[in-house]
Amino acid sequence: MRTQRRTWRCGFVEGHSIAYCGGARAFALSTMMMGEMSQGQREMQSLVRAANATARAQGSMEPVTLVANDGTEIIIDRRAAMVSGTIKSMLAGPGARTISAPMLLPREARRLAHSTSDMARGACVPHLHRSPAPARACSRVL
Amino acid sequence: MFLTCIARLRLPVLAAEYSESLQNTIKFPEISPQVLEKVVQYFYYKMRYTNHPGHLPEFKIEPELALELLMAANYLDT
Repeated sequence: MRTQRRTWRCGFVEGHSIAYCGGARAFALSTMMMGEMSQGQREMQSLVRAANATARAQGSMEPVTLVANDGTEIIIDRRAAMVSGTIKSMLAGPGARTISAPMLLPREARRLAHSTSDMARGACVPHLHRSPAPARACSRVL
Repeated sequence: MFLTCIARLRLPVLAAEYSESLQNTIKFPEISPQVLEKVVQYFYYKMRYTNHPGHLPEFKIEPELALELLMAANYLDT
């Protein structure tokens, strides 16, 4: 129930909406925007609407809003949006490629800062001592 | 101190990457509503008919949308 309310609010916050989130108003808006629709277009719209209705009925809908260049919002299920590789990586965020060796970072940070300050001074200072094991692990991570 | 510097450098990057996943809203300033609707229809068409045995219904594409749709599909990696 909470999901439904949120979907609705998202759909009509600004501009108009093609929202497949259900209701006569959304359908009317969609029809108005597209003008005369072909048979294929109608079939596809009903496919989308039916799939979204099923997802909502099962309570498994996780809404994702896609906004077009004129502010039109289309609210669809997360699983459908994940068909697109670009959207998938946008929704995954940086957590998808977490580095699994946080112990290495202080040492590497010190080494990078050391060599950067060397370069800035134009000086040739000997490198910090590095033991081979973390260096190997680091090259794997980076 | 070095770590603080690095944390300062990384934070805006992380925040930018997070905004879509936090708000569940993605803006496409390059894509028109007609094309976006077609793309969404394709998402559902693809979900519905992947591993579907037998005859596939045609996914109709209007010729006037074809070029824009091609560019959007390329961008969206669909």
